[in-house]
This record gives sequence, C-alpha cells and structure tokens, in this order.
Amino acid sequence: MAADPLITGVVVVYLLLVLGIGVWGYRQTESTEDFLISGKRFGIWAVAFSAFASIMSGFGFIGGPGLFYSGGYAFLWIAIVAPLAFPISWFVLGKKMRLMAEVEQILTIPDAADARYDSDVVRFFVALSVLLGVISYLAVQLKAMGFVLSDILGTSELVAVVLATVVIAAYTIGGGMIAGVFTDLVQGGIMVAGSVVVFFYALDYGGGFQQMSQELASNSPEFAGAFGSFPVMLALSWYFLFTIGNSGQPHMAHKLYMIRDVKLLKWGAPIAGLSYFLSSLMMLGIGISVRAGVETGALDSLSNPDMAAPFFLSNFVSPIVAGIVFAAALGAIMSTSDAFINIGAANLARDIPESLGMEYESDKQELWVNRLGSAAIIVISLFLAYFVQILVGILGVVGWALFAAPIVPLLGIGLNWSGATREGAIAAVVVSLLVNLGLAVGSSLYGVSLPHGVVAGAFSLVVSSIALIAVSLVTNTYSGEDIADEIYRVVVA
Amino acid sequence: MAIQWQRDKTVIGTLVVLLVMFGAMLAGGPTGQVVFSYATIALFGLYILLGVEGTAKRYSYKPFLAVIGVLVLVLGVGFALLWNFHFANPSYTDPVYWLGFPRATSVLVYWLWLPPALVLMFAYPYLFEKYIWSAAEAEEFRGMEGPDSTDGSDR
Repeated sequence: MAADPLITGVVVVYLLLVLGIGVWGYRQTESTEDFLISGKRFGIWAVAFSAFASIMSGFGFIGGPGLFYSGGYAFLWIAIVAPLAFPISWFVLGKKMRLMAEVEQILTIPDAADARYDSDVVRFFVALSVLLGVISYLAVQLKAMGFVLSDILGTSELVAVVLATVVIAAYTIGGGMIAGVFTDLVQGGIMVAGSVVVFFYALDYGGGFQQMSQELASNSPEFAGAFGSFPVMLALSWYFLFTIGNSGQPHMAHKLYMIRDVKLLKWGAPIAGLSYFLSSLMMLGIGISVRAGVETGALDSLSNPDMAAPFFLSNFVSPIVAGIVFAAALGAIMSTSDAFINIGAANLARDIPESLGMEYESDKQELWVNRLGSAAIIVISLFLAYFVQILVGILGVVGWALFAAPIVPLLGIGLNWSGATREGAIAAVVVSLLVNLGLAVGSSLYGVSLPHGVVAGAFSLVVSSIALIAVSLVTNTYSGEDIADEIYRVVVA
Repeated sequence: MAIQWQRDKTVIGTLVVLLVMFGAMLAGGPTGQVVFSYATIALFGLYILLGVEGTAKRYSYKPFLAVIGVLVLVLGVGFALLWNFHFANPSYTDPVYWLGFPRATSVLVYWLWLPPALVLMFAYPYLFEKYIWSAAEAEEFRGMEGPDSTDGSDR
C-alpha cells in the first residue's frame, strides 16, 4: 500500500510520544519493585486502563475484525466476554492479589504461587508455563506490529518490525512497568476513542446492522447466526475460557499489584470492562461491514482476513482518523507486548533462578538483570517469530491456556480456598503443562483435535482445575492453618 | 481424607460442575451444548462465591448471593432464549430479525453482552466499602508487618 503522509505523520507522532514516556519511565525506575510492579504507585484509572489495554491485544484489534470477517458473528463469543470477565476477576482476585503484595515482597505471579504453597517446584513450573506463553504470544505480537507498521509506512515488514521493536525495547527495558502502565493509559485512551469513531464509520458504510445482517443471511446464512460459521462447542469453549481465564492472565492479574491503595480497586471493574466494550465495537463494525460488502459483490474478497481492518481504514475512513486508529492498533499490540516483556523478563531473571536457589547480591544487580532479561525476551521472541515458526504455531494452539490453566486453579481458587494443598498445586500445574503441550503437539504435528470443536485451552483449564481440587481434597500439606499466618489472613480475607 | 464440609462445600460444588463440563465437552451434540452452557453459568456463580466467601463469612452472605442470583438469572434466561431461537432455525435461512440481527444473534448482542456484565460491574463498587474492603479490615491489614502500608501514605 502507498503510505499516506497524514496517516504516517500521526503514527510517527504517536511513536515519539511513547519513546518520550520511556525516557521519563527510565528516570523514575530506581529498584526492581519499580521495574516489575511500578513501585505500587498508580491510581485506578492507570491500573484499570492498563489491565484492559493489556488484554486487548493485536489479536483483538487486528485479528478481531479478521475473525468477524471470516466467521461472521461467531467472534462475538470472544468479544462479549471481557466486560463480564473483568468484574469476575475483580471479585475473585482484586483484593487478594493486592493484599499478597502487601504482606510479602511479591513482584510476580510465580512469587504469589510460591508464597501461597511455599514450594519452589510450584514456582518453577508456573514460571515455565508463563514463560512459554509469553514467548509464543510476544512472537505473534511482534510480527503483528511489523504487519501493521509496514502497511502504514509503506516499508518492508523487516524494516517495520525492527523500527517497532526499537521503540518498544527502548521504553520497556528502560522504564519497566512505570513506562508500561503509563503508555498503556495513553494507548487505551486512543483505542477507545478510535474504536467508537470507526464503529460509526462502519455502520454508515454498511447501512446499519439490519441491512448488513440481511445481506449476510441472504447470501451466506451461517455468517448471520449466533455461532457464525464455527462449531457451537468452539464458541461456547471460547466463552468459558476467556471469561474465567481472564483472572489467570498474568498481564492482567499482576496489574493488581500495582495499585497504590487497596481502596482504589473500587471502580476498576467498570472502568476496565466498559473500556474493553467500547474498544471492541470497531472489530464488530469493520469485520461485519466488510464481510457484507464481499457477500453482495461490492468488495473483492480479501486475500488475508487480517487485512479487514487495514483495508477498511485505508479506504473508507479519513486519513487523520485512520492514523489515530492505526496508532491505536499499534497501541493494542504494544500494550500487550510491554506486559509480556516485563513478565518474561521476571521469569528469566527472578522466578526461575530463585526457584533453583540462586540469589542476587543487591537490588541494583537484580534490576539490571531484569533489564537484560527484557532484552533477551525480545530477541528470543523475534528469533522464534521468524526462524522457528513451528514452535510459535504449536504454542499458539493453546495460547491463553498456558497462563489460565495453571494460574486460575493455583491463585483464582487457591487464594480463596485454604484447603488447596501443595500437592494439589503441583498436580494442577504439571497437568496443565502436560495437557497443554500434549494437545498443542498433537494438533500441530499429528492433526489430532478434541471432539465437537472443543478448544484445547478450555479443556486444559477444566482438567487442571479438577486436578487442584481433587488432589487437595485427599492431601493436606500446607493447607488450612499450616499456611503462613499472613498469607492465611489474605486467603480468608 | 481431609475434607471439612463447611470450608470445602463451595469448592466441592465447583468440582461437580467442572466434571459436568468435562462430560458435556466430550458428549457434544445439542444436549452437550446446552448442558455445557448452563454448567458454565453455574461455574461463574461458584467462582465469584469462592472469591467473596471470606468477606461473606465475616459480614453476610445475603448481598453476595443476591448479586450472584441476579447474574445467574440474567444469564440463564439469556441462554434459554438463545437456545430456543437457535434450535428453531439453526441454519438461519430467512430468519426473523430483532433490532438488526436474527433473533438468536440479537439475544447474544443485546442480552448476553452487557446486561450480565453491568450487574457485576456496578455490584462491586456498590458492595466495596461496606463489605469487600471495610474500614475495619483496612485497619487490620495496616497493623500487619509487610513491605508497604495499605494507604500509600508513605509515598
């Protein structure tokens, strides 16, 4: 696509703004706690927007319109869950996660698992599962950034991905989560505003939902249905996985550590849920209007469904608005990526070494190792994205479940139920890894899939939760009043 | 066995629901789909109940059971409408439209998207100061030794 100077200008201004925040964040970051959880300094708008912006990734903002385009209304089953999922996460984990950071020096999700179960084995396997998820997701996000930016700048994807990586590396390695949360706040605001404006552009182009639905139903009725062209059980699995699984996403859950006061949690659920709702309107509008245009013959079929959003923005939206929404799309990808880089760095520099008995001599040393870890995560993910695509593809099969299947049972259930035992936790995290990796390898290499369109991640989440509860009910190590006093008080709070 | 009924009953209920979901996933078909959807609703309710149980034991179960009851009712009715319209015309050929969408899709957009979310979104702040994070609990945690204070006043 030929680059439009107005679109390019808006996006360049946005990238410079993000870099500026990175410089500011670098000056504010003095300790590992600042780097990993922003020193617990933010208010609810920043934390809630950061939580929502992290969950709304390139998968939603660019892949979402593509999935509406390719599957009709089926993608609603993912789009509709976040407004419900955020308050569920707040009820289940909001207070608990923040209190864990209150009573212990907890900076990561594996830290919390270790504190709850007093087990380096649990910490190691949670860190490993999260690390696998981070690498696979980050690889996809970085490729998505190259895809979007090359379209905006009119450069090759390689040049675009290098440019995007330099920007994101500068602010995440330098400014850690202080820069991450602040940029998320800006990026989230742009996403919401851009989505609402483009939603009305899409309705105007398509003639409203009644007309678009009738055009779909008269040409390809399955697209107009509540389950689109996808299997019913697949859509239901999404609904379950993405609602309950929200509380098991480290890039969402660890934001709850960062709020400066527990009482500020109060309005977080509506802020995050409604922001996600508004930012998801665009994917529905663009995906369905472009699909309806193709069905009626007004538009040519797209070679790649992921082109639905760039195609619509470039052809049917004014350049200034398109520039802002392209910046929002980059923001969606960057906000998820910065969280993953931070979490992955903590896995490499803190969780895995400490679970193996290694310790740092000073906090300054740990801070710099975390910075090096951030750089390493970016390099590893880029390498995998372009040279070991099969691994990214395999891990992508289970996607969210690499996070949700261990974290929902261990923390979602275990931080609220004092009966959860160390054996139960080990069983759940090991089962989650085995089932996730087994299904991913089986699906990718041998074409084995679950029956009726059941999503692998939903299956592994059910199985790992069963494992935690069933094993805990017949064992008793480190449960009930054996739990350290301050952690027990959090569990029963 | 280390089961304590009073402590474990919500989790045992959760385990039963998870086993039902497991069976429904493998069974598939219209019955499996309907059972899975209602088991999912039950799981939402139990998961939230588990999350607030400590607070409910300290104060009262009533407000939380009321919120969960409304949520389950909204979702239950929504899915009943969805299944009714979906199975009446599963191919969506020449569908009846409600507010711009075929009826089953319309239920998804207008009933299952925001209404259940709004119930929970605004129940949380409504219950927050009286139950979820009361002044008494804040005081209790403020008195504990930890890496930081709860009110952030040292910053």
